Amino acid sequence: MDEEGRSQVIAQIEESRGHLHRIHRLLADLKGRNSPAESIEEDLFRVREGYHNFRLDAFDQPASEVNFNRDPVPHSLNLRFFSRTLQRTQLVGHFLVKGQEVPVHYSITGAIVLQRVDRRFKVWGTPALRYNVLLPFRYVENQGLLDSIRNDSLIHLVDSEADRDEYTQMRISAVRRSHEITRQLRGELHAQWREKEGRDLTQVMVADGMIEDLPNGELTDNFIATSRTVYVPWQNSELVESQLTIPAYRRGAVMKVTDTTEKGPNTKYTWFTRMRGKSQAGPEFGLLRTTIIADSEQDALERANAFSSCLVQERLPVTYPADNWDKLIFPHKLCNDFLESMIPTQTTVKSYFARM
Amino acid sequence: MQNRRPECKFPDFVNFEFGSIGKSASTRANPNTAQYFYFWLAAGATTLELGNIVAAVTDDGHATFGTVVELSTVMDIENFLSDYISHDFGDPNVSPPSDLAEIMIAKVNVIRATHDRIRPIGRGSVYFATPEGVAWGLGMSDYVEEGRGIPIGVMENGDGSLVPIFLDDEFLIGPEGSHMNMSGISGLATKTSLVEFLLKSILEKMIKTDKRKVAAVFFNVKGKDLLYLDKPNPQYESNDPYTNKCRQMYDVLGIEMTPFENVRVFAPYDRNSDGHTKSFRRDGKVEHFIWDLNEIVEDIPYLFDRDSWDESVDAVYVDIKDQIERQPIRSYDQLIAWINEERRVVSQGHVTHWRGHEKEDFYKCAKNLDALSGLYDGLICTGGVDQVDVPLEDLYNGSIFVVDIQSLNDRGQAMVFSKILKRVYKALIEDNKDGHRDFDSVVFFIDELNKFAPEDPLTSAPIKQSVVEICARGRSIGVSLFGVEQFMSQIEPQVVDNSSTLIYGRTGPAELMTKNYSWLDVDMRNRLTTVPKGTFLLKHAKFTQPVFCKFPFPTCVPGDQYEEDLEAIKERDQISAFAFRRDLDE
Repeated sequence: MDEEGRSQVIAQIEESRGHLHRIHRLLADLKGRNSPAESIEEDLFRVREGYHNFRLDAFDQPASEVNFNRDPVPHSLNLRFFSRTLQRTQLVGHFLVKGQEVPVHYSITGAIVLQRVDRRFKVWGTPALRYNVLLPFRYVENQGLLDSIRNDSLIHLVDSEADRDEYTQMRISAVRRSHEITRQLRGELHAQWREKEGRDLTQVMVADGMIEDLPNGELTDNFIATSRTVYVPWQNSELVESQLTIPAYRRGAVMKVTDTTEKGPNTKYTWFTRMRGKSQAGPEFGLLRTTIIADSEQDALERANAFSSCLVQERLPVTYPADNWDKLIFPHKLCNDFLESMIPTQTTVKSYFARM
Repeated sequence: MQNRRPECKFPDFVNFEFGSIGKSASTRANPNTAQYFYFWLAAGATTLELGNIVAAVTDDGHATFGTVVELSTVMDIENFLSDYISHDFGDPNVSPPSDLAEIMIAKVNVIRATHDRIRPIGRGSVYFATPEGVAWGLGMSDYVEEGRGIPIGVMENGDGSLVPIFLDDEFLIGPEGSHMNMSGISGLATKTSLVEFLLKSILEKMIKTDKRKVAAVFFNVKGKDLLYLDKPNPQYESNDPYTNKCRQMYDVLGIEMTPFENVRVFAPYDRNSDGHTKSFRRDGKVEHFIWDLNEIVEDIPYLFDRDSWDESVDAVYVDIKDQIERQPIRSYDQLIAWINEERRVVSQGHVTHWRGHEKEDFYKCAKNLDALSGLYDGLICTGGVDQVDVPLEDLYNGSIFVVDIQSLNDRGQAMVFSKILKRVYKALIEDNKDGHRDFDSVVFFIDELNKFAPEDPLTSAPIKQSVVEICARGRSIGVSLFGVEQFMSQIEPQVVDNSSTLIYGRTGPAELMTKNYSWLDVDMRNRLTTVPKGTFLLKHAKFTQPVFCKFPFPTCVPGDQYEEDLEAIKERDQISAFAFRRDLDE
């Protein structure tokens, strides 16, 4: 094959790679360079989720007398739906504008709801997946270049809105924007679920992640969220310290969560449940935090017991050897597996931009 | 989620109606190659099994056909420890709220693809192939359309369809290829029944198409196996589900359910009972054969083992043969009389040698020749019985000769087999000048082929070279050897290698460890240990992959299941004896 023929074949192959190719073309048009990073941006730059806006108030004693594994509280709840998000932002290149290095990111954002029927799972609705290219628009001198990709059906062009002329801040800003998109996708999916399934309050949705910042109007009694991170920067995070001694299969004190910003109070209730015995493990082992809305403190206590009973049962099957397997319930692992199976791997993306 | 059926350029080849049974995928650990691909089975695909033929339809609209050669299940478990923990630390009765994802993966060996590029497939929706797709994939369509298809059985695909499987006659009875070899453990009524079915299939197709003139010579080496080819199979009086399925198979394959016609049975003469033969069939339908000295004089050395017939004895026999020709000695009785006279002369004290040979060697040779009539009773004319040969000149298109040699020992069987084989061989290579010969191909069938062409060079097998020769050159002149044995590993490799069609029935694990089976995928090989009665694995020269097939009960009764009317035989014997005495009186 001659050089021209080879180039044509390569061009055809590249064209078939869809959105990665579009980003590569955009970078070329911006006279930028491919510079894929080794790690994903979320590992380098943690987005502040806003826990510092919330205050905890304990109004209950830990229910240490109830072993939810041995003596589950009677209830009519069925943990039927499970949701999780996926977010992966990768630095793939940069371009130079008046001496300023400007990063270009490729991010995949997604959310999914799985439905459990007779111990087996199927996808509820349609998984939300978006492929994004992020860059601060204000550094692009020829805005026409952005117009050419703006209406692309394969990839979403997103302004990463950097506040400062600082390369690292631009990268953090890109991660933040990805986070916003992810939250938006999750919100849309949850809204659909609420519309179609949320009315039957015995059929519970278990979301993975933070819901404290959501208005209570967007939540229902059959919607709970779990978080595997024990320490988060609440305004009075010292309250969490006492939770570390919760025995196996017990729950800690139910705490009221109050939004102290002007959007507040949006009161919610949260507590820790020890999912497993912690012999030969650290104090955070198996500690899963659950957040719900409730009509009253009494209502919150009653439902905390019911949900704890349900969640302790979810410790099996174990998700070992996944990260945080002591707290990661199997349906949430499955959500992640599903989303991961739909997207190109981090290595694929890195390799693509590294060789171009 | 969106469901989409792929566009296919060959919709007749793919069973879209049954629905997709999975999707091909290529992983880091199990990448697809040009020779095979993997797919995971759809949740409801419960009918797929090893040996099924599927088609993967790729985005370009092409279909890649293949045989499922491996099935494995994968559960979402990293290791046994995690599953142990998931069951509350080892309690098998615990049922967690979520069931672990469990999938089945199939490995498919590629048979053929509708595109002409040799490259692996990536993504593709997998369906069962239709009978048309199977026929195209296996390459049967071409020769079946040209009237060269010989039905051998059906392949039952996972969608429930019965796919007729045809062999190419040019690769079964020549001239492009020839011979069939079949192995499998005994007692499952597969090997002999399949040969009977295949013979029926060959003769009917050839006669119908008037394309070739085929005759058959079958050797019955044990029991009553092949003695009743002309008797209908009583199994077909039954209406049980399997018998009905067999009828369906005949229908699919286009073969009539009638027993064989034009069958003649021959067996060695039984001197103890006039009119009888050394055969288990006693209804008077068996014709006898017996040979004169001149007919077997060249074969006599092969009737003895090496201990009895060493080089010294052989040297003596050369001189005896010379005398047989010179004197001439015309019968075995005359030979024995002459030898006795020679023995008397040699026994005199002053005689130290017989025609230059040690006296002991002459005695040994004489003793062997003396014993011949006893060892091979019924094969050699003695006591004034005239020679009656197997009338091979009477073979014609569609006729079947069954030569019953079960009464003979291995060496006797080998001699009869070799003599008849050579005579037919000779008849076929000679020009048919007088137009008498009404066949241009002959199918030979012999069971326990390992006795005649053993793999072990140390095992004595006087006709091994003849069998090898026939296998190497028979295809071009119209001789086709259907050989059957329990263990293919015990057969001379040249015989197996020259067989265009190989058939494997149920086989023991030790035999499957031998090199004859090493080309098979492990799961396929292991399946051979448990294949049910009536099922076999077929490898044909025209197929790129082997196929599991089923075949129906043959139309003729299995010999071991046929009971003759003993009263009628007794009555016939009495009449025969009375007639004999009356003749004497007259």
